[in-house]
Amino acid sequence: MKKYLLICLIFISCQDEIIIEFPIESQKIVVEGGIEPNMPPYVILSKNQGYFDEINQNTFNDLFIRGAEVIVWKLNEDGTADSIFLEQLPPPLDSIPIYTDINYISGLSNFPYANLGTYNPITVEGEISNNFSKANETYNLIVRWNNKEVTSQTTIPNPTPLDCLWVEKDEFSNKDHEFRINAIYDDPVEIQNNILIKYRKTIHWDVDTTNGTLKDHKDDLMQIIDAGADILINGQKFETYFPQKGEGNFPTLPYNASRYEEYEISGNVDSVYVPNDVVVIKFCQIDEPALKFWRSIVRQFGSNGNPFQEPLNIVSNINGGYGGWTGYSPVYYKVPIIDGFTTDLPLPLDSIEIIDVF
Amino acid sequence: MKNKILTFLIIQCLCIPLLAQTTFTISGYVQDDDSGENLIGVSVYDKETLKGTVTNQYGFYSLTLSQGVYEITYSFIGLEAITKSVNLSKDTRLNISLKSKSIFTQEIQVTGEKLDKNVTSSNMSQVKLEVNNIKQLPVILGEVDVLKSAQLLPGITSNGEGSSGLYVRGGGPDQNLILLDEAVVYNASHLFGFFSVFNADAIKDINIIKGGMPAEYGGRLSSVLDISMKDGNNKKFEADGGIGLLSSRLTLQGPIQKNKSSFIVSARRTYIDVLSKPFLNRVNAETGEQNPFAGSGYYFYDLTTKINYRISDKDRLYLSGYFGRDVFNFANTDNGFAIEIPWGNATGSLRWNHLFNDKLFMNTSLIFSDYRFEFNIAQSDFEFKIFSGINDWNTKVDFLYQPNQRHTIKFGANYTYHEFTPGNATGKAGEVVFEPEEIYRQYSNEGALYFSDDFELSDVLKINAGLRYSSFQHSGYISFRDYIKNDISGSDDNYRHIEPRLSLRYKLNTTSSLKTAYTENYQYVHLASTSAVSLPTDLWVPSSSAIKPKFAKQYAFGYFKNLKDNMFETSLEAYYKEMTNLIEYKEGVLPEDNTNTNSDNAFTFGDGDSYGLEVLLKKSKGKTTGWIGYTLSKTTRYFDEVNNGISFPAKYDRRHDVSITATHKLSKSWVLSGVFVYASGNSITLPSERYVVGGDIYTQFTSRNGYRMDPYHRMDIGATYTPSKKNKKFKSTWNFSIYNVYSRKNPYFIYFAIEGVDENGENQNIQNGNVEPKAYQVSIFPILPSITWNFNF
Repeated sequence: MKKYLLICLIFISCQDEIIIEFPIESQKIVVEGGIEPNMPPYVILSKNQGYFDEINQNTFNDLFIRGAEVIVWKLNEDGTADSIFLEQLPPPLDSIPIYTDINYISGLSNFPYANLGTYNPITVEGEISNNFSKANETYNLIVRWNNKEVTSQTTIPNPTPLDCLWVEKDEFSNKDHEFRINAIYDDPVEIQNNILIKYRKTIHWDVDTTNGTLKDHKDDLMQIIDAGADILINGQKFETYFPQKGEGNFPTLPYNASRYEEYEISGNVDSVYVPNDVVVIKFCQIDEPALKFWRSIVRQFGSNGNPFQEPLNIVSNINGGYGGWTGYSPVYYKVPIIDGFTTDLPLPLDSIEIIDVF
Repeated sequence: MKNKILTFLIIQCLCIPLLAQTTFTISGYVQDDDSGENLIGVSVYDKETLKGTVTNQYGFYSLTLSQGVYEITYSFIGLEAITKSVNLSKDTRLNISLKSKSIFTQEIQVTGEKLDKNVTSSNMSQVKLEVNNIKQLPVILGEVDVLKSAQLLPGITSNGEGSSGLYVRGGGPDQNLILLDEAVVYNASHLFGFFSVFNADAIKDINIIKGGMPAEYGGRLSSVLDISMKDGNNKKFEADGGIGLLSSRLTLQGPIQKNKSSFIVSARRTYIDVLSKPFLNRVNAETGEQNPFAGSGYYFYDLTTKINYRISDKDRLYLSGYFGRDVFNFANTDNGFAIEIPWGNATGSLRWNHLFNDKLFMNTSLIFSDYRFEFNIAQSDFEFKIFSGINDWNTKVDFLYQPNQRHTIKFGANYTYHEFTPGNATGKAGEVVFEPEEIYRQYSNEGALYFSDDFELSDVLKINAGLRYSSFQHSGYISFRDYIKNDISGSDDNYRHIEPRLSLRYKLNTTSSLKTAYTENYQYVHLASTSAVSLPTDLWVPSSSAIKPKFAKQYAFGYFKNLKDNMFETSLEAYYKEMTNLIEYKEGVLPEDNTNTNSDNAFTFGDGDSYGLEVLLKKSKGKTTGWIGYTLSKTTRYFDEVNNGISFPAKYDRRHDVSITATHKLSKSWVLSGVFVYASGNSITLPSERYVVGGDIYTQFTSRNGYRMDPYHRMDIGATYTPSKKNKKFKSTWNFSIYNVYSRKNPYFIYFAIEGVDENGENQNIQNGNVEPKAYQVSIFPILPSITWNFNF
């Protein structure tokens, strides 16, 4: 509600840019990390900056922490502990330093040298041999850098797949090519679970209407749709849908099926064929501390500067730092936006792109 | 505590000899001759000795004097004073009607109080606002607003531009006891805080207590806003109304049985939604498409009604009610998205006044109060609803005993049954309905006994001493029916406290006095808010084993001086207030975390203090009236789990607050008015750091309320034009207002944005660089002229 009230106020108001200077109070390590069954854990480390510090390519690169010591460990039932030292991906994949299980990555048979620096996806197809990451286990994280140490803990829950997904026309759109992804979800009654839903358009084209060429606008990274507990829906089987982000990062928009799109050059109207979107849906179960982190991420989209909202920080589960360390229990679905497409089959492990894990 | 009680008892004993004198009592009701309305605060005194009293909330007075002949004067500013010669040889009943002053002699009054009351009364930090005066002050969009007028008094601040919220001496918005005909109003604002729920046409009297709270009031830490509705004209039918830019009003009143019973009905509604509907529903002529926002809109309305019946000279009945709703709709047919947010208050009060004898007056009340909020959101087959609320059943009995002119004794009892409905949610997806097994509710019982005596120890020393015994029993999910059946007396959720209230006046001479006050207050219900302003989404929660009652101690000291035959009234008050068990959401807790369950673990608790100096210079008589108020104050909060345990300023902390109001009667037809306010900027929390997760930038707020916005200042001017009467029965006035005359861009809020586009006009992101963090200050109300036409026949 506060968001809509804010929109109304902005209609009747006037605004002036002002200069505010805030020095940062202390340097903090920001953790963005996750672990999911049969996949290598990963961590991206960065630093906080002053809100009004300059942003350019240099300051962006300077955000990231290199040379940190990163350990993930778990306690076994017999009292012993297993641990992995995460290392940065080697050049040329180090423009954004991703700490992961190098042995796992380099052991894969097909390891493409894509440019991670711009978050282009890496397709990893190969034998999945890692058995460090399992459901129902708790994983501890230790990060040491520049005489600072941050720690965290997360538990990977059990997965709950969707019953099925399908593509159907968006009833509110007057454009024939706009569709949405619907799903049936059957929530297990016996457990209190927390759900996180992400998506990534692996194929998405826009048309440059000045010359009719196609522009590749696929997503570089997974985008969040929503996160929430099953307090209200516990034990219910119901239909839901997964829109993509719209204005202000709120997920409200449909996806595109294939279509012909018109463009005009020198008064001549022509049209070009635009392929359909392809969307990967990542439907995850997560533990409660991780849910709080992701819920606050969703909440902050709409709270920045809102006079009706008490300032809301991201709820971190990182002791001594910012960010989140999440144990995911995901199921992945690949959905081409084709009218009538239906699936109840999650992607097999060897079809999951590693960028959707990271 | 024992010492305080002992002192109180000793003081009581001192007055026993006074009670032993042979005396008789003159008593009765004082009413307005034109309308038959009972008059509150009429001075009734012996002209020779100046000993006297004032009428109470129901217009009743009782004055006990030694046998003899007296010239008893009844005076009320704006009405012709009457002096009656009374041979007091037995108890005497004398009801009085006061006539209006003729138009040629009528002065504008700032207050309806006895003119030297601020010097002679033992109470301090109390103000009575006169509705007729409020109506002449310039207002925003033509809406007369009692709460906004109250904000012009020293010690009372608003939360920012246009806000009708009250923040009294460092207290939060939930620390004000807002009563409408004795019923608690839990959310006193319309339009998300921009206007108050009180329709000035239906209001008779507004009494504001910001310190030295008498023992008959309790349950809140900071202030009382006691609003009395008009009873209704019992002599003739009357209609009042007004047409303004934002809303229109209509009030009908008249006798049901002349001089015996009367009614009043007053209604108000905004019409932004009606005026905007043709534009929102317009169909595009070229495309044939309907505006996607058709169906969006906002309106509020309120209805107040009251009837009274004089059963006999000793018994009167009053039945009054309020019902108000705000409804906000937002619709977007482009994506099938629809929101409806209705919220509002409903109150009802049934009161019985009974006169046992000339010295003992009783009021018994049965009161219902309800506040509810809903948020409905729908898209396609999906629906989601959040709702919350609170309702009270309250019964109370109050006695007023005036054994002689030196004593005014009040005692009574109060019981409230609270039913809380904290955040509940239901939903629907297609045919599947999501709802909890039962709606989550909590129940509590709140009670109080009180006793106070306002008595003159000598000609110079007057004391108002009182004790309030309050108790609160939280039953949790156990309803009243279950409570009767179950023994839960061993619950940890029982609280019992004694609250001493003491104020003392030392009269220096006939025009000046010193006063001091000490009060202790407990508050058992709390408003949990995640917002910087009061919003309908805020939750009322009861004290429980996890949520302790709030507690405040307030010390006040003041010097009061009247000048030039009470034409000028001045006061200088200093106060210090300590508060404990203040409540805040824990950092990182989201209100929705506690949907369909209690919120006890969502809160953290801390302390606060506030101290300040308030100066008031008021001119109450003459063609030009008004006041200048100045407050110097500091309000701080201390929470172990907020702001890393470091103390921080409260969000309504104001170092300086100045308000100047003036009204000038230019001629028979024209009254001019002006208001100027200046306040230190709001302290707010801004993000000081940023970091990146998943390619998006997130902000980190570090220092709570660590940034102070620019100061707020504004001038409003107004004029009221009353055309010469051609038709004696039909009267009308025009009110012209200009809000924010010099169009000061006062900061309302500040927001942040990371902005940047490349040469092709495409949005840049942090990975590509070339984006810039920016801060914008938003101001909402520039110069706003308005005009309102009011009528009466």
